[in-house]
Amino acid sequence: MKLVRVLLAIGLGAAFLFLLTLPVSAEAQLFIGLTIVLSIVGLKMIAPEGTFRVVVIMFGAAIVIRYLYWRTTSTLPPVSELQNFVPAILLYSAELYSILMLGLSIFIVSKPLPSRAPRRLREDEHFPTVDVFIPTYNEDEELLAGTLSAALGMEYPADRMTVWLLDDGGTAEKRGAANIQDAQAAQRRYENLQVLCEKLGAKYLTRERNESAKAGNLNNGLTHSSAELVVVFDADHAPTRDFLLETVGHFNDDPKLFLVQTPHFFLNPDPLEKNLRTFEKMPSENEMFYGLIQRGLDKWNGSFFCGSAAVLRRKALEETDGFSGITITEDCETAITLHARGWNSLYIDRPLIAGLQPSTFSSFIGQRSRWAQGMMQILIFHFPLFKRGLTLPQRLCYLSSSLFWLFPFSRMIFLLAPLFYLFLDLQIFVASGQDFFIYTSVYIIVNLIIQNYLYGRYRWPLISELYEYIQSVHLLPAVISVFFNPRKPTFKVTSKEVAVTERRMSSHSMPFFIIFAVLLAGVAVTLYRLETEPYKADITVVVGIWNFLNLILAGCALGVVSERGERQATRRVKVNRRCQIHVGDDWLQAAIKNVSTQGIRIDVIGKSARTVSVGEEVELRVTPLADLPEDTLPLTITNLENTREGAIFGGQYVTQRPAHYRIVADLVFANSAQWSEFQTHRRYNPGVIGGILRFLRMSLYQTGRGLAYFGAQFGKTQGRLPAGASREARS
Amino acid sequence: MIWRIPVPLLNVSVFALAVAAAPMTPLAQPAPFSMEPERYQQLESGGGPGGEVPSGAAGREDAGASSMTPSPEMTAAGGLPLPGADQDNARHYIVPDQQLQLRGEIDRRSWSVVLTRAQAASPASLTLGYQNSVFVAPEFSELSLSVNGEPILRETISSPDTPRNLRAEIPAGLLQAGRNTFDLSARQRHRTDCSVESTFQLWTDIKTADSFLSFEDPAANRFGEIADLAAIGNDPQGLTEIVIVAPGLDEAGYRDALFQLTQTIALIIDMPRPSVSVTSSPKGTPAELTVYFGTDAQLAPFEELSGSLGSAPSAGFVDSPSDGRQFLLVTGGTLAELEEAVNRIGAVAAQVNDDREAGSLRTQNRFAPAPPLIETARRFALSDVGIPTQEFSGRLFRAQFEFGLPADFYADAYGYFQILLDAAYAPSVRPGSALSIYVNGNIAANVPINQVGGSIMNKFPVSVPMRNARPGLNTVTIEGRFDTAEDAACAAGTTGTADRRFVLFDTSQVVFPAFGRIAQLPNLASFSGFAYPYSARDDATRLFLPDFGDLTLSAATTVIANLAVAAGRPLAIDSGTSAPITAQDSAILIGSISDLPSQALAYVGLEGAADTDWAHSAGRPADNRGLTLDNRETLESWRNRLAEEGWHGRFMRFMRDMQRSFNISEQNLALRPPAQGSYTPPPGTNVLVAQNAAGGVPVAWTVLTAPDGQSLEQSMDAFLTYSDRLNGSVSAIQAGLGEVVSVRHERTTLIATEPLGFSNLRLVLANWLSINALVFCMVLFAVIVLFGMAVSGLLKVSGRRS
Repeated sequence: MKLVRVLLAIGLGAAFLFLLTLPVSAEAQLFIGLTIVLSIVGLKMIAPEGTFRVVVIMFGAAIVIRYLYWRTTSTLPPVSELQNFVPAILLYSAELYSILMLGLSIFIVSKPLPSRAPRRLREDEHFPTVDVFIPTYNEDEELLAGTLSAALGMEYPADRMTVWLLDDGGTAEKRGAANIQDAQAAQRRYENLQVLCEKLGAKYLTRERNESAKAGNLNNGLTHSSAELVVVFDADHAPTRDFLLETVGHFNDDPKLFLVQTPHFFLNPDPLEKNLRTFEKMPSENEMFYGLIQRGLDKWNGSFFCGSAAVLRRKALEETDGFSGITITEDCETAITLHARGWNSLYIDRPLIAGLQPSTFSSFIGQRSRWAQGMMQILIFHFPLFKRGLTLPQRLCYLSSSLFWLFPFSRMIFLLAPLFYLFLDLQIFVASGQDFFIYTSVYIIVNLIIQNYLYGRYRWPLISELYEYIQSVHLLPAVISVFFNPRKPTFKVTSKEVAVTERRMSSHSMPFFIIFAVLLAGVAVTLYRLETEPYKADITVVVGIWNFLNLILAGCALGVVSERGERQATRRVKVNRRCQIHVGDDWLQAAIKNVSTQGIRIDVIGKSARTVSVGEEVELRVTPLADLPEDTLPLTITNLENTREGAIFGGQYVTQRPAHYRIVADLVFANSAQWSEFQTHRRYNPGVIGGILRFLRMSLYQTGRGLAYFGAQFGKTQGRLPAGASREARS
Repeated sequence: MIWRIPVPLLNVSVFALAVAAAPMTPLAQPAPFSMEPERYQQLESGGGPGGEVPSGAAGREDAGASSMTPSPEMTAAGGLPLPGADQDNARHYIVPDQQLQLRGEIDRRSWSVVLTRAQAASPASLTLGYQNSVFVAPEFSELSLSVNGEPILRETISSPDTPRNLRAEIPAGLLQAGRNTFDLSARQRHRTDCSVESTFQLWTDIKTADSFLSFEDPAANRFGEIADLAAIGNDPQGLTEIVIVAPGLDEAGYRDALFQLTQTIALIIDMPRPSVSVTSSPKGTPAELTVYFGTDAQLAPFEELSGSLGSAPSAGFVDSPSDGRQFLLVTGGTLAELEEAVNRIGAVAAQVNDDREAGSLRTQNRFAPAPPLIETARRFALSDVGIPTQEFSGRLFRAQFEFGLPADFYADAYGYFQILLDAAYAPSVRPGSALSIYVNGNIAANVPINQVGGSIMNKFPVSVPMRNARPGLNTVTIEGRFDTAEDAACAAGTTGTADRRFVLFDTSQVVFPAFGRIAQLPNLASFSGFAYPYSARDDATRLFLPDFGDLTLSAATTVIANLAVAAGRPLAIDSGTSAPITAQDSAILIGSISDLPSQALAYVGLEGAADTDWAHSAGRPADNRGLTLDNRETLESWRNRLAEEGWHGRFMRFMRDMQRSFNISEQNLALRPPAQGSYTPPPGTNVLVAQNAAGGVPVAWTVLTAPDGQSLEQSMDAFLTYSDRLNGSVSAIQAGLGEVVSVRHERTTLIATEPLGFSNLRLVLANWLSINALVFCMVLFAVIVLFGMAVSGLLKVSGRRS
C-alpha cells in the first residue's frame, strides 16, 4: 500500500516538475502566476488543515520552481562580464540557499505532529531513578537558589530523584587562578554554593579542570551519579512541579528513547521584544522553533536536544561516553550522534520550564554567535546529509537545522545587492521590467503568503527577516571564522541577567547606524538617478524599491539596538491564587495578582492594609503546592495603592533562608498551565497585509527612536565609551 | 499603377513613425518609386543630365573600382527590351527583384547571379541604373558593388532628379560559370538633418531594367544544354517568364506531363519568380523561355518547328528559323515518349538539385550566402550570413540577415534564440540610445544603451523571441539608434562627418536552441516555404481546375512550379482522375471563386467569401480604399509621440511596452476555439489562399482563388511576389497595398514529422501550452492538487503518525 502511494507521488511529482520546467511564454507564466496566487489566497481563506495544507504548500512550491527555472535559465549575466557575473552569482547563490532552506523547512513542517496527549506517569508504574543536573558557571547564588528550589519542588518520589548542582565556577582550576581576586571569588563561590546545596537538599559537585566546557561539566556529573535518567536544566531554567511526571513516562513506553525535549519558555523579553515592546503582543522568536519546527522534527524522529529542559537516558549516553564535546553546541551534537546510533527522541509541546534569556543586545549576539558557530562545526564535523545511521528524513532535519545558520551570508548579500547597481552601476540581475514583474513579484507575494500560512500564528511577516538582519551583522564574521578554523570556537557562557536600567545605545550598535546611513545614501542615489537618467527609470525604480525595503528593515533594527531602560528586571506572570498577609496582628485575606522571581503583587482585603508604608517588611503566608517545611515568606513593600476594600501591595521577596526560595519557586513555577496561557494569547495571525502594515508602522517609529537615541548619545558622550559598555563587558 | 512594396525587412513600427514625421501623406510618399511609363519617356527625352562624370570618381580608382563611363544610351533603353535586337540578347539582368531599394544610412544586399560557361568566358561590362532621394548628400554618400568579392563600382550617390546609369568593365576572369555573388552596398547621409527620423528619407532605387551585364559575345546568352537554363535570369520586372506552347492539353495525361515539365524546368531555373503561361498557339511577346510541348503530331502546325520534329522522344534547344531565337522543344511520338522526354529534363533537374548545399535554405539566388536552415540547435557567426565587421558613424545602423526555419517549426509562442553581440559604442553615444532586434519586421528585443562613456560588448547575450518567426524564410534586422550631442546640435555640413560611433563585429554569434518540431495544418507558411504537406507525400496531389483553358492552366502551372521550387522536387500531380476528391486526399484547387465547388470553399472556410462584393468584383479595378491613413498605424504613431517626454511620457512608454510585450490574445484564454466566423476578404485583395486539413495525416486542401479566371491569371505576379509572406489558414494578398493579411485557423491539427522523443515532446508541449494558457493553468492546477494530495497521503504513512 505504501509502495503504491510512493509510486503515485513519484509519478505525479514527475508530472509536476515536467510542467513547471516547460519553457512556456511570459504570457503563459502570467496566467500561471495569477492562477496559483488566486488558488493559494482562496485556499488560505478556508485555512485547511491536513491534506489541503500540503496542497497549498505545493501551490507555493510550484511558483518557487517556476521562479527558480526562470532565474537559472534567463537572468544571469554572461561570464565574460566578470564585474557583473561575480556579484550576480553571489546573489544567485544566496537565493538558491533561501530556496533550499524554504524547501527543507516545508519538508519539516508540512505535516507537524499535533501536540501529544499528556502522558502522565501513573502511580502503579515504574518510577525510574532520576539525576537532575543543573550546570552553572557564573550565575549568582540567588538565581541558583531559585532554580535548585524549583527542581527540588518537582513532584517525584524523593528517594528516586537527586538534584545536582554542577559548578564550573568553583573548580580547582578556578580556585587556583593566577589572578588572586578571581581565585578568591571562586573560592567564596565554592564555599557558599556548598552551603546552599546542603541547606536545600541538593548535591554540589565540581571538578578539577574546566575541560570541554558544559559537556565536560555534564560528563563529570554522569561519572559521579548513577540514575537511569538524566535531566538537564540550565541554571536559569526553573521547572514546573509536574516536569518529571509529564516526561518520564515516555521512557517506560519506548526502551530506545534517549531524549524527551520540552520547550524553553522565557519569562523575560529578548532585546528585540524589549526594545520594540512586542513581548506582550507578538509571539516570541523561539516559538516558531518550539511551537512548530520541533513538532515537525518530531514527526521524523528528529527532535534534538537543546541543552536544557530535557530528559535523557543514561544507557544511551553511555554508548557515546556521555555528552559530545567536539563542538560548542554539545546538545545538538549529542543528539545527532545518538540518532545515528538508532536511538529515538521525542518532543513535548508544552512549556515545563521557565527561564531567562539574554536581555541586552550584546549578550543576545554572544549567545547566537555560539549557536551559529556550533552549528557550523556540526556541519563540518558531522555533515548531516552523509551521516551514516540517520534516516533520510533525519538527515534533512539536521541539514536544515545546521544550514539555517548560514543565513548571515544570504541576508548580507540581499542587503548589499541593490547597492551594486545604485552605486557601481553593475547589472547583476538581467531581466526586462516585464519579466521581472511577472516572475519576481509573484514569487515574492507567494513567499509571503506561504510563510504566513505555515508560520502565521508563530511568526509574523518580516519578523524573521528582522531577526536575521540584526544577527547577521555580527554573526557573519563569527561564522566565517569557523570555516577558517573549525576547532577554534570555545564555549562562552551567555550572561542573561544584565539589567538595563537606563536608556542607552548597545555597544554593538554602531554597524547598524553605518548600514542605515549607507542605505539612506542608496535612496538618495535612487532619486538622483531617476532624475538624471530617466532612460533607465524602470530598473532604477525596481532596485530602488528593493533598497528601500532594506532601509525599512535597517531602520527597525536601529530601535532594537537602542536599549530601553527597564523597570522590572524580570517578567511577571499572572497567577490566581489565595494567600494571607500579616499586618499588625492580623492575617488579612489576599489574592495574588502576579508574581515574578523577584517580587509579587497582591490585592489585600481589609482597611488595616492601608496602614502599611513603603519599605516596611510584612509576612506572606501561602499554602504551598509542594510539600514544603515552611509556608511564610517575608516581603518588602515597594509600592502601595489603596482600593475600596483595602490596598494593593507591590513587594519584593526577602529571601533569608533557602526555604524561602522553595516558596518563591512554588509561587512562580507551580503551574505550567499559566505559561501556556500566556503564550496562546500572543499567538494569533495578523495576516500578511495586517502584519506588513504593523511592521511598517513599527519600523517608522523605531527608526525615529533609534536616531533620537543616537543623537542623545552623541551629544552626551562626545566620544566616550557608551555607559553600558563596561558593565556589559563580561558577557 | 501606384504601388508600394515594403521590402520584407521593413520595420513596420519604425516606418509608421517615419510616415508620421514626414510632412507627406503616405499616398504621396511612394511617388518617387512610381514606375509609370510616362515617367520613363520623360526621362528618355532629358537623358543628358545623367551624363556627367561625378567628381571624386577618379580618386577612387585605386581602390579597385574599374573605370566607368556614363552611358546615356543605356538610360534611353531603360524600357522593355526590344525583341530581336542583338544588344538585348547579350544582356543579363542582375537584379532578381522587381524592386531593389537601399534604405537608410547603411544598407547592403547580396545575391547570386548564375551564368553559363559562355557568359562567364565572354568579356563583359556592367551597367547599374539608380536614382536616389533628394535628401541624400552626395559628398557623404556612396554606392558600391562588388562581384565575387572584387570591387567593381564605387561611386557617389548623386542622381536625385533622373535615373543614372553607372557602367564598369568586368575584369576578365572574374565571372565564373555557375553562381556569382553580387554584393551591393550603400552608405548614405542626409544633406541637412541629423535626426534618426531623417534617415528614413534616404534611399536609392536600383533600376532592375537598367542593371545588367552586357556580354560582348553576342552568342553568350545562347543555351547549349538543358542545364544552362539555370542561367536564364529574369526580365526587367524581375520575373522569369516561361511560355509553354502546348496545343493538346485536353487529355489529362498530357496535362499531368506538362505539370511535370514545368516543375522540372522551374527547379533547374531556380529563380525567385518563375511565371508560366500556357498557350495553345505562340504569341508575339517574347519570353525568357519559350517551350514547345506536345507530340510531333500536335506540334506539326507550327512552321518554326519544321525540321526539328521527329517521332523519337527529344528535349533540347532549337533555333527559330525566322528570327534565330532559341526555344525548348519537348516532344515525342506518343504520350509515353513525351513523358520520357520530360523525364530527361527531370534527370537534369535532379542533378542540379544534388549540387545544392545542405543545411541552408533554398532562396532561388535571392540571398548570398544562402541563409542557414535551422533544423535543430545550431550556432553561426554573423560572418557566416554575410554580415561583415562594420564601423558606423551615423544615427541609424542596420544590418540584416536571413535564416530559414523548417516546415515543422513549432516554437513561435515560447521560443527564443540568442544573439551574442560583439560590438562597441563610442563615448559620444549618449544613454537613451538603443540596439533593437527585429524579426520579420516586428520588434523582438531591445537593448538600451545606458552606459555613459562607451562600452565594449563582448558576447553580450540578447534573447530574441521567435514570436514572429515562421517556417521558411525569416529576416532578422539588427538596428542601432544613436543619440549624440553632435547630432543634437547638427551644425551645417556635419551630417556626414561624425566620428565612428559604433562597430558590429562579424564574430557576433547567433545561437538557436533546439525548438519544438511538429507540423501544423493548416499552415500556409509551410505551404509556401516548403510545399508542406504536399512535399511530405509521394502519392499524387489531386489538382482541381474548373476548366482547362489557357488562363486557368497558366495560373495552375505557375503555382505548381513554385511549389516544386519550394519543395525542392517535382510533385506528382493528378489533374484528370474523375473520382471525387475526399478529405483524405492531398488536393490543390485553383480557379475563380464562382467556379470552385462550394463544399471545397466551405471546407477551407471561404464559404462566406463567395457571396461578398469581392467575389463579384471581377473586371473592376482593385479596391484601394485601404490606402488611406491606417487607423492602427496612426494611433501607434500618436502613442509614440506621447511617449517621448517627461514623467507622463515615461508612464505612457511603460504602458505601451507592457502592451507590446504581453501579446495576450483571446486565444490564450479560450478553452474551446470559437466557431469559425464567416470570412470576408479585406478590401484590395487580389488573390485568396486558404487551406484546411483533416488531421492525423499530412494531407491538406489548399485553395487559390480570385474573382474570375482573368484576374486570377493577372494576379499570379502578386502571388509570386508575396508567396513567402503567406501564413495561417487564410491569406489575402493585397498587391496594391503591398500587404498580406493572414488569418489563423482556430483549430489546427498537429502532425508529427519525426518520432516524438521526450525532449521534442516537451518543447512541442511548451509551445502548445503557451498558446493555450488557460488549458495549461487547468492542467497545472489539477496536477498540483493531485500531487499535493499524493504527498499528503505519503506523509500520512511516513514518519510518526499523529
